[in-house]
Amino acid sequence: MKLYEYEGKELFKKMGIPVPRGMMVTAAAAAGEAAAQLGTAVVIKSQILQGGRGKAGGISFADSPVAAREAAAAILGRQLKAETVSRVLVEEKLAIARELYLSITIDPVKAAPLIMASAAGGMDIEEVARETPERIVREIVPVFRGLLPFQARRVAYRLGLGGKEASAFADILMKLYRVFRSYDAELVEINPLVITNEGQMLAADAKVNIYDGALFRQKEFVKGPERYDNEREYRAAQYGLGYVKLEGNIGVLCTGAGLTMTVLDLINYYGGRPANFLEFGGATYKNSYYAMQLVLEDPDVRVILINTFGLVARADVISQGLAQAIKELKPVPPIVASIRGTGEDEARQILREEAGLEPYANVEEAVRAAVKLAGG
Amino acid sequence: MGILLSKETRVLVQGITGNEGTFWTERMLAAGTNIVGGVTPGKGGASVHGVPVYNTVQEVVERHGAEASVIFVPPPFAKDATFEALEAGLKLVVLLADGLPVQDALEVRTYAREVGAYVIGPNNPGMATIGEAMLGFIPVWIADAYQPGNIGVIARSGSLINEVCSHIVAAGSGISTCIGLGGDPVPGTTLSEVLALFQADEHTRAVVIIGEVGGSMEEDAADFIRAGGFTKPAVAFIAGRSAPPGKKMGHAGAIMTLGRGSVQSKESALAAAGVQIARRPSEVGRLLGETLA
Repeated sequence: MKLYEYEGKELFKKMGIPVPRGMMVTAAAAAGEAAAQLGTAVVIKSQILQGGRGKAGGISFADSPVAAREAAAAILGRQLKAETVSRVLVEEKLAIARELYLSITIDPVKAAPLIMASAAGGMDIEEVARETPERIVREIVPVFRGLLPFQARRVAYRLGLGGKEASAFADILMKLYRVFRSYDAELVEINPLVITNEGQMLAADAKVNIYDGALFRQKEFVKGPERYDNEREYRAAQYGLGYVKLEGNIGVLCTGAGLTMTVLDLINYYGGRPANFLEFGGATYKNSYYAMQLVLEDPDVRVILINTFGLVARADVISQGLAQAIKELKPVPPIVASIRGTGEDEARQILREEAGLEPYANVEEAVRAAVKLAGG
Repeated sequence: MGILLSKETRVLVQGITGNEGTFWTERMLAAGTNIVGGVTPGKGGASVHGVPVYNTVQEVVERHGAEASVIFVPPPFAKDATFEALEAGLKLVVLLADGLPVQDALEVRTYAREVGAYVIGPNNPGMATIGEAMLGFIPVWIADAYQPGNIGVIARSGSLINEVCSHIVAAGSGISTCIGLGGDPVPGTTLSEVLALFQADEHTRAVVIIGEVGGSMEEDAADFIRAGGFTKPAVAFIAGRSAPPGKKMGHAGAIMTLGRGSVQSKESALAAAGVQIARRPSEVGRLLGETLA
């Protein structure tokens, strides 16, 4: 779950990482008031979850409360990177001397937190990694030892920092590591980490991604509809279904992530285009009912393709749910199915007798039939 | 024969009295698994399908000499259960939980390496040595997908294990051990580590790798093969060619970011290491036949 910048900065503040003075507002008038209260020139930053908002025009500057109000009015309600801007962060404008980069993420190969830092802050770090990898300092944190001050100082020295700057950097890194561990993050990033003309070091931006699989114990974060690319993906998640909207016209219902991806690949291989990724399964047949409902909502869907080769999910239980969904929802698009797995004979019988379907013997035959029905 | 698990392996089931634990214990027993005990804290003294239940892993180790564990407890308790098994000295732990926090996964893998044990999973269907024993959810009773033989199967995805194994069997081959590594970003055991085990297994003649988009395990395995760590024939199928960048496709680990972890990158790395690449699951059988001819 991605946090908005202002939410990330609230966590930073709690941990003692210096951030610019500012406030999040949802209305233009409030932006003006915030600027007046700050009493300085301000920056108005639209709060969206995608990166690259600066280049897309999502950040502007204002040197008076009136200008701040106008800047906020211009951006609030606008579409930016396919998100509607409903919040802006109004912050004091900083006198920037230098910009650094600092992040902690997970190195899946070493199975440990990975610190990345660079003196080339404020830039697209991927570009820095590609063009000038030597400008990125990397350090692995042994997971049971944790980050100790000597290693945080070492990162600072490797960036070429010294004196008070090195101490301030090490202190921020120690606190950032605490954010990373306390909130089950998969990424915490400060870009840029600013050194002002007055020599102060603060986090001018904040990117925090909480690992979805840890949200059960990170109860202060609720993954609401605004964190999904569309409303249907949000509702799917409420049913425990993995749904991703795609561009084509073959509606896909599958069990298991790997099989579902493979079915999408096969659809493309045979010249068709999938309308969605949808993985359902588990022990409750209700899931297949909701899955069918979601796919039917999509006006792009011309054919429905069902494939299962379940492990935990039993084929006969899935078929019961599908048969019920077909009876109640009366889908208009034709349905093509291949049902394999434990209880597959009963499953085929249920689909034949209760839903009038003739299941295909295997995945590839079903995919070819669906592509043909969808018009090639 | 096969790797890590045989019909002699003395297995314990953690979370045996829960719905899933009870349901799958019956099936694991039917598949020949030598289950010597179960653990559910507070339920010591009970019995599930004739398997005695204890409060702690330590008791099952002391009384029955348990060597391996399969864990059915839900994600919030999975790290605790895994450490209990590892600290009791078990060298094989199958961790099925779907939804283990990634920072717990870091600790699990690090500790498993420290004590020299294999943790298989999380978020996986388990493993089976066909005709001998099964730990987890693998439906080894589906006869046209699971026949004993000398092909090792390693998969990141559970649902694809069934599909690909059915093509191996259709091609007239059979399976030694199949093993699901799981779809999470930090698996307890990697592809390369399992390849090393299959290399040492005399019974396994070739290996089928079922990979997927995201991460770098397949690329790392290619490096391992090129360095001479694995010299037997291998066929790979990689799922997720049509996954849009930056989107998680069901598995938390199946996400392609910044050009890393793409199917193309995995296929070309493995092909350069001499692995045959199947573009569809149904090609796996034919390529295996050619490779072994």
